[in-house]
Amino acid sequence: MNPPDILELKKIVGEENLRDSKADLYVYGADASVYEGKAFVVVKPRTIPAVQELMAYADKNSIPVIPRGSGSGMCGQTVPVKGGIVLDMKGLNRILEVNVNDAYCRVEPGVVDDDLNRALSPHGFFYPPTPASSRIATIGGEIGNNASGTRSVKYGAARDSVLGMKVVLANGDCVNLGSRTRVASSGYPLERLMIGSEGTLAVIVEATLKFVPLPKFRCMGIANFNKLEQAGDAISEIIASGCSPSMLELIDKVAITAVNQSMNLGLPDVEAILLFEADGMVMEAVDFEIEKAREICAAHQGSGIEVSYDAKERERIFAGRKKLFPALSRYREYLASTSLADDMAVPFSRMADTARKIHETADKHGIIMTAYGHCGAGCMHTKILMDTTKGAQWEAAREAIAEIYEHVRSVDGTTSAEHGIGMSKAPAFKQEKHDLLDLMRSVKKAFDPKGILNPGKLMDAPDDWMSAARLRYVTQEGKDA
Amino acid sequence: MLEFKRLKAWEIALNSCIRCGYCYEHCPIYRATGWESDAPRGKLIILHGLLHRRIGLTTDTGSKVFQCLGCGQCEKACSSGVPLLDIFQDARADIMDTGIEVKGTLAETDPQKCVACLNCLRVCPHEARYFQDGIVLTDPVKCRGCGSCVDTCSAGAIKFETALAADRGLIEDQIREFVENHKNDKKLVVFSCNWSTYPGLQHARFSAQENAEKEREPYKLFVTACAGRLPMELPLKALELGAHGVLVVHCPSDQCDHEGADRAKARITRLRNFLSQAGMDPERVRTAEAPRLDTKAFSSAVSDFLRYLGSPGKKAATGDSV
Repeated sequence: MNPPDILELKKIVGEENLRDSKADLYVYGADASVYEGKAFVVVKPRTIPAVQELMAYADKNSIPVIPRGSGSGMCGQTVPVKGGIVLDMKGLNRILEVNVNDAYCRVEPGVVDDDLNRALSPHGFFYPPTPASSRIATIGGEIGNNASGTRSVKYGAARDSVLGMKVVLANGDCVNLGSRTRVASSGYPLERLMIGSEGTLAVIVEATLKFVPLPKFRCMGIANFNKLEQAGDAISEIIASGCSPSMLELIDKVAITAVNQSMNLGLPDVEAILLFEADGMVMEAVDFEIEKAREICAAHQGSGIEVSYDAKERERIFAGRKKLFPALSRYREYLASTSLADDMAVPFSRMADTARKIHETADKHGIIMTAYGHCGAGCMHTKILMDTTKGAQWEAAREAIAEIYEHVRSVDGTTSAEHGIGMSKAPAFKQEKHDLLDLMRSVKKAFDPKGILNPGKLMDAPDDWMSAARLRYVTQEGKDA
Repeated sequence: MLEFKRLKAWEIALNSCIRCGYCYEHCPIYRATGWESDAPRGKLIILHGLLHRRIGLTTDTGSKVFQCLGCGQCEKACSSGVPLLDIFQDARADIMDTGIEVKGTLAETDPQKCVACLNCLRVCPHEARYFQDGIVLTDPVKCRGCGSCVDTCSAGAIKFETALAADRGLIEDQIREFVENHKNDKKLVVFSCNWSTYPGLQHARFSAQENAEKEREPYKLFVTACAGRLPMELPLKALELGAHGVLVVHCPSDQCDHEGADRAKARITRLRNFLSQAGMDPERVRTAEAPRLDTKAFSSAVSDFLRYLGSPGKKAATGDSV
């Protein structure tokens, strides 16, 4: 792989849209994962022709290109492991059109999710995939990772909201994929191929998204369970009952302890907490959903059940889940919260035993793991809390992760629910999709013959996640972890 | 051998940063430049790299942590509870110990102009000014770029080239480009305080987007760290470059933590008097108050001003040159 000619790149994007100092390159070598890499240069194109010129230049000179939103990915998707040009897509951040009559909007990839929703809100609509990181996550990044969030149980992931897009191919050609209509029956749905492709096929430069009406009513409920299995059964039954919650979240004991310990929220000392929400335009319909969920929770020995339409009350109920992320970081001073085995999806009926498996595996290997997530969508999240200065803890994490993903496969689950693969989940992904790897590589080659787009990710990431790139942490001996 | 003794004590805290990036939207420096390496997360990554010798200490890598206004918004927003301000302070001290030259959002004294009146020492709320060899200098470890010293310096010896969280030259270039691209419009330049108007700014931005492409927005917005840091020369320069009006949006006085609102109002009053004496319409420079969480104050101040600039009889006035 060749280093780029900086002067040539400055001509394309303008001097003010390029950075190549040591400090800049070091920062753009990192994201929210455990990895660090080093780019040759960071550029911020502000027009589609600039992206086309950059790609044509990179393709001609066989230089890797790594498209990047805000770098909030947790699996190393945007870490430049083979050097190259980091495309900071935040320079393309305009909301181009909000078309209420035809129920779509067109946005550039650098638009931040929350900003899009602020723009849609006055029209009475919202863009629902919204991950927890919506305050910084860009639409381009969300599409690249097929992101979703707490309301995916009802509204789905990015894949369910994208109608079409404009992409720049590796050779610099710009093509339109998909449509602006709700239905489009013929031909290969190439726009869907882009979703979850993690920047390995093309550079998204515009997306056409559908949106849905903002509900007039939202009601949230909470139920506590003394046994994880009871919560798991309740989840399964709520879904099987035909109930359509807009949120169904699980918080396990480790997470409850973390929240209580670091934030003193006074959550009950139970094995699991379920949060459920229903929304809609008619209160009676919301009541119907909530009542059903409440009855099912009660039937499975759920206690302390309360529900509320009041915004402040809902905020109080949700506080335990909302504070979970920071609570895990503050669990114990010497433990770092690492994004490893950070997400997976399993059938609803296997949520409880997957959570149990995570706990048992963590105990066995002397690390701390929690199990929480958007269980109404089958999405399970974990974090590994460990002393990152100790080499033995990393080995323990490696073994635990392998065991957990083996379990996920055994229950017909899948490696990633919404965070993507990058490098940290690639070994599990490759094991799960072992019969598709050659086909995926053929698809990649058709789009990107020279393999310049985000190389070393997904099916092309190494089999050992620990050595896939340099880890950000340093051991006690001062060596790289 | 670099020691980073103080920074070393923060090793666990640096590890506890989960690099979520939730600090981005709160940082005035990041919001001005849009580069992740200028955001708080970027600074923590650089400090982590310096501490573990993954990157070397140079003016480039060492200066990042000095490009901070110490507002603390990142720390409040930090999902991991990382004490960013303390870390930055200690890192600054370690870096200064090495004797390396740094550049940042720091007050700079022109020794040719300083008359050693020591007024700036008295007003600096951060005790960042000290007297040495006949002039008053800035302690880069303590300076928060609040601008109190600039205001008080009667000799005009203190400058903040980057007090607006962006390069002065860059701002002037952007004003030039805006004027050039809006030849037939009323050209309004808005300097807005980051703290007071964030929700209002969002509202205004999207209202504008509903109606027109962003580049056709009838005003050019610069988000400043605090309206009190805006030097009088910049609104004047905007008029000189062809802007028809300049609006400075600030917090209500009782919501400003460092008297920035009062300083901004006083400064703009002086500028209006100057315009008046020069026979120009003083209404071309205005201030507006935008309370925190008020989603409409900003956009209504902009709309009122644009209406004024577009009203009959104002053409001659707005055609003045400075």
